[in-house]
Amino acid sequence: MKARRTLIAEDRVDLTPMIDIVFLLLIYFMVTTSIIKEEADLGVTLPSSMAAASDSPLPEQHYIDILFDGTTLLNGMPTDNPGNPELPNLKRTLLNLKLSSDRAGLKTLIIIQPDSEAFQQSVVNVLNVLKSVGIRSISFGEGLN
Amino acid sequence: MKPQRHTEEGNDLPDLTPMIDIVFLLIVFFMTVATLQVQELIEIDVPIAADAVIPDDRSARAVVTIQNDGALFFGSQPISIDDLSAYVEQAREADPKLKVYIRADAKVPFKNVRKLFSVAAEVGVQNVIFASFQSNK
Repeated sequence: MKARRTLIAEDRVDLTPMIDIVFLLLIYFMVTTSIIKEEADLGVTLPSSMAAASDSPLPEQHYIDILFDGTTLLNGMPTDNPGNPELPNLKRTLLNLKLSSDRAGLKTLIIIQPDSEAFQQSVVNVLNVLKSVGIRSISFGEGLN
Repeated sequence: MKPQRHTEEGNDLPDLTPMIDIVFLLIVFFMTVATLQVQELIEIDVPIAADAVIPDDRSARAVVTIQNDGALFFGSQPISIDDLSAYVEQAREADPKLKVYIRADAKVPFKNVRKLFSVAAEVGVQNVIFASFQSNK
């Protein structure tokens, strides 16, 4: 058997098409695995029910309302165009508020009050702004209806 | 010189067997990796947040997914909101440092997410994480 193979070259199975396909598959799987995007985190720590010490100063409290169409209100005042996910005005105002309460030695507490029909994306936009400003004390309240 | 010898003696072809072996191994590797990644997560349109961070450590997470029609999943298993607290409770008992990882579709109304907040608060899990993509590319 083996002797014949060494004599007649045509007797071998032609592997070229198989190798072509195998390489295609390899490239396909390599590309699809790297394309899958990694999800990132946007964390919220829910307030605990622990009682605060009676002498701890009250935090500066601000309310952010999110209406059903994505309009964001800071303490009742409209801030940004609902079409703008970056919320630049909200970001600037919150940064100033945070800096002034930091100087006064107070914590900044934000209470987000999304409408029941507000999309998750609008809530995430606000959380994103809070994250970039560096506000960690966040609480969720009932939305305006 | 070379082409002539090829046609005369089959033995002269390079032996492709080891290469094919390795290529097959690679294919199997990438196939399993790809299917593992797909199986883990229910498909949704994750909201976009530029300042979110990709975590190093994804342990101790109860993954809860809400699709934009309101369908709820604990891990990859469909579940109703009433059963969810029992599952989260169980997971929290197994790991007290449990965080609830909420994968909500960008178009989910907040009322559905609020229910998950109450489940987390009820069970005593204080860390809630929202899934997001850093960019829409």
